[in-house]
Amino acid sequence: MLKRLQEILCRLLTTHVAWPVLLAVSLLCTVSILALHLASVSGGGGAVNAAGNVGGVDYAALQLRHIALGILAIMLILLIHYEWFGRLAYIFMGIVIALLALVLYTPASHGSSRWFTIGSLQLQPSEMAKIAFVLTVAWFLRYRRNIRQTSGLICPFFIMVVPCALVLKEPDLGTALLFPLVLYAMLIAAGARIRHLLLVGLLALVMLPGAYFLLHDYQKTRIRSLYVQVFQHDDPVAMKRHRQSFGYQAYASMTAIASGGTTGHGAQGADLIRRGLLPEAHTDCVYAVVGSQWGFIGSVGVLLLYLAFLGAGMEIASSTKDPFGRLTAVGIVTLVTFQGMINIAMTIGMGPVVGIALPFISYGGSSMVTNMVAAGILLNISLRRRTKTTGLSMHHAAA
Amino acid sequence: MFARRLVILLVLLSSGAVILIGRLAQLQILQADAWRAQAQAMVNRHSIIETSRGAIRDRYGRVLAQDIPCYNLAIDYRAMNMDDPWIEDVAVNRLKTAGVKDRRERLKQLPNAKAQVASQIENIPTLLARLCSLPGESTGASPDEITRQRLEIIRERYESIRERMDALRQTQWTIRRYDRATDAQNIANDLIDPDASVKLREDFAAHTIIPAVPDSAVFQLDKELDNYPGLKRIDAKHRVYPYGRVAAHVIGVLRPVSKPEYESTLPHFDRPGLLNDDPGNLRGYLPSDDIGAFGVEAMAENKLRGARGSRLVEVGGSEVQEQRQNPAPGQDVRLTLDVELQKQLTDAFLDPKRNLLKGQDPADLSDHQVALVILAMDGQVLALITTPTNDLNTYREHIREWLVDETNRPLLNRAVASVYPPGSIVKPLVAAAALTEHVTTPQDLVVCHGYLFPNQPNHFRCSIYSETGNTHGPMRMEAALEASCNIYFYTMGGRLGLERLIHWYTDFGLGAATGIGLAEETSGSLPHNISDVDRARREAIFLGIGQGEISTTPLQMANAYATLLRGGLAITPRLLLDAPVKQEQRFNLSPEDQVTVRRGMELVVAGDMGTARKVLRTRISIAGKTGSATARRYVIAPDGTRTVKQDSDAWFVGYVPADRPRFVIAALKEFGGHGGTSAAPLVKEAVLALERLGYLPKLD
Repeated sequence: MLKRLQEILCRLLTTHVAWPVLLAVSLLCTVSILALHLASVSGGGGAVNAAGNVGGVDYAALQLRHIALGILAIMLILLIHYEWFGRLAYIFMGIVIALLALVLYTPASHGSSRWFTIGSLQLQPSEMAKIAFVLTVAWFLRYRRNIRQTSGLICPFFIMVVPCALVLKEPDLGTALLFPLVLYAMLIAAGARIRHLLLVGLLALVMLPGAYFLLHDYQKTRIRSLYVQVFQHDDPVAMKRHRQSFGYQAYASMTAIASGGTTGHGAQGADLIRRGLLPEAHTDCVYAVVGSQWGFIGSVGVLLLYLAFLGAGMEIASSTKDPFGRLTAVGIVTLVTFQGMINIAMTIGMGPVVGIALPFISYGGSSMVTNMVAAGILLNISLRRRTKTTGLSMHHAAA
Repeated sequence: MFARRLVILLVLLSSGAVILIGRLAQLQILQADAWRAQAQAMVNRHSIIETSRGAIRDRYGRVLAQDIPCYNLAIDYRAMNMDDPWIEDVAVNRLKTAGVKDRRERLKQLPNAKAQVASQIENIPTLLARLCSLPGESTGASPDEITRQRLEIIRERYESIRERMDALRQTQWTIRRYDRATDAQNIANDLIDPDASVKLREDFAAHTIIPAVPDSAVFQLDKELDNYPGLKRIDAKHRVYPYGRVAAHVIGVLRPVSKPEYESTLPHFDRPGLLNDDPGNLRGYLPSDDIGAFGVEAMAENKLRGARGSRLVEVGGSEVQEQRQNPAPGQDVRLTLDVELQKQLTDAFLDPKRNLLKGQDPADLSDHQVALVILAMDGQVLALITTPTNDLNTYREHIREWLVDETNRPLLNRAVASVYPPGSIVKPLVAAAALTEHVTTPQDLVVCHGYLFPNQPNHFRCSIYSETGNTHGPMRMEAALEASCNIYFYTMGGRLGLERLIHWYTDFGLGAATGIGLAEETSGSLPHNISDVDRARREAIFLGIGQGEISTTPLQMANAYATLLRGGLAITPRLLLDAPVKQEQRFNLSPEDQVTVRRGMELVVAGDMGTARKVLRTRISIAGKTGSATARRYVIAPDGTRTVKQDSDAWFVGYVPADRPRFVIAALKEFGGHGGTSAAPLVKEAVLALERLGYLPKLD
């Protein structure tokens, strides 16, 4: 077993397409440790500071453990041929849906039921659901040709609706938003007709205002507060009210990011973080820490790392002949990139504040392990793909 | 085709990234400086520096009211509401200080620690009940009963703190709603969810439960404070009134500011220490503030009340700059009162041995009396005694019983806020009017037959006739004043007529508040002019002896006499030493006429027929006029029964020395009967006190 792992790792290092993935992930993880070190506010004594962050916890050290756990997960994943994930995808999806349904009955924390708590371990099934969803859709779409007809789009749509609705019920608007986006990207990749997809997109746009009324009140206020932020930033009265209520988080993160300037080390931003005035500095708003410490260069750098991850995934996908493999690769990279971009948009005041983590950077075990698993699957595909040129796969070679 | 689709995806996502980069460039490169200023404002910390209220002093600088530092016992609002996260914080901290380093171990012990904290919070009322006595508890009850009462009082205070917080939350909500209404195009009309609990500064603050805790209790408490999480000892100030019951009605007390008041001026509603780049109105009231309830405390509120200071701590990197706006302490207020005179008179009036409490009915020891000393020259109020009076220091404890005590109405400042029919004390005013209007001369005779109209022996009678059946016979003005002949002044009233009388009374300052500045002052009343000639004539006749639809406050009468003595120069009576003198020449009383009227008033005391001849023989000559005004008013017995009682209010208004008036003294005793026997002794007491204190020259 260890020998096999050693063999796989050696092979990984010789696989050129895997390098950008490895590089992007390890750099993002490094950024995570550095940013979390800054975000670990020195409140001391478990005191809750003004923004509700618990001080005195070294998030960086804890995150290191999560990363280690994630690397372990990558290694385990690399041992198995990725096709097995596809074969088991439906079962995996079934389990995840059951968990998503069950989690609704757990006591709510922070106003939503998202976590199973086992001892000191917290499990977030919606994180697993993302991976399961990508695998299921990829497995379902791999040989379909009927997706070029409108009727063929119905089935994938249903695969999306069930987990999406359950996640929305938690409520977790941010994660739920990812499902249709990823599905859309995968349908594009799978070859659905562009005009069908445009039509679906148009329909979604038309229905969006209607969907607004289905949202929870707090979600509505967030969307409205985004409106104030974008269209009424010249109105001091509206802005003051906005800052003092639901817009505070977005305002604080924008302030922190902008005070970083071009090259970073904004003293004011650092004060903001040190004094705990930036809510969720270690989770949802960690990008604000990045922005305030490393400025425009750092912020764009992180964004480019996601694009590098995306590009590397696309490269892997395009060099893979196996439809399941390449669809999975597309699904995984779009999942990670969308997440990253939505989170960044949220922290710079271009999107509603939805609880969505910055992949590989935000503090959190479930999220880190999930993203590592996603990266692992991507690496797995890069290792075992039947490339168009050789038609060889590692699976066959090993057999 | 797959590759083409991947390119589409790549382009879509990259364009998204380009937009994000554009926004980042806008924020971090173009607007960085503006946002840095915003960040600075967020980091800046504002805090309020408390100020102190000015002292009230008498004319010689003796302190009548001042702030004294003390400790208040307060409870954290989160503890009061058993806020779970807060309890958890306290418990975690406790475990940390106890040396439980390991997080898992802490987690294991946490439920127990939390239960301990919760039970200690629940014990706070018991501790408080044990520590110190509370206003409102009955004295002499059994210890158990007292504890029960105290717990009940503390529970009520918890409730009132909650109510105040609810009100505050509601206020904030209303204000936000209000400024929301100002921008009509605001789509975010209900941006703030009323259900979402808005956290206020006060949600994280301690609220006073027991103000001004006795030192012994503080000492005892210091040892135990750690065992009662949420209970805090906070530095505070409380108002002390060294003279207790003396001049209580003039000095006044403080009360908590009311909801409409603090709603209008609350300094600011910003989140604690976050975005308050503006300290707001530092003179404004916070819900926990006090405001003057009545008396000078209310009258001079703006001067006494200081402005809070504010402190802005600017944090830039490691350097800390402080911007300070120092608090402006309230200014002291000097009163025109001589508190020693006031004290001597109050003590004398309320001393049962001095026999001053005795009214007409010896069984009815009424202490509803008023005495006023004002400087004839410029209207300064030297003493203003109104009884019953109570110790201001115990105001908060007794306010409830005082408010419902309708028998005595101890909170009523009878000198300015209560009206009485003036009766015969208006006669000098009528005399002055009659002489100035030339409806009579000093030598004109009016014959007193005992009653005014020959065919109506039962109406418009002279007091001497109704009491003894005698008559005064023919009288001049001086004699009419001396004997207080009603017939003479009925006649004068009739001659002057209603319209002129009202006009003259108005010139003397009746029917309108004197403007002394006390909010509780009332205006009294004068009749309106009546067009019906017969009725107007009857009314005028009655008004000639100060009866009918006329009512005045004792201060108005003292002021009217002072105006008379100044020959028509009205000066607003005043309580504040540095208040500007407001004067107005209302009429011109010729010196000869003034001599006549004053001679009449001197004879009241000095003449053989004088109505106050028996009581006011002092070494220093007093002049004045007695009054026994028929009054009807509700009398509420201590058992609560209400009856309408008709009797005479006893008045005496005069001045000393008679030859060179320096002090106008007014005295009134509710239902005291005859002015000469009931009110004049109060004046005599005042004159003796003035003499003792060196205001009047000692003859030997």
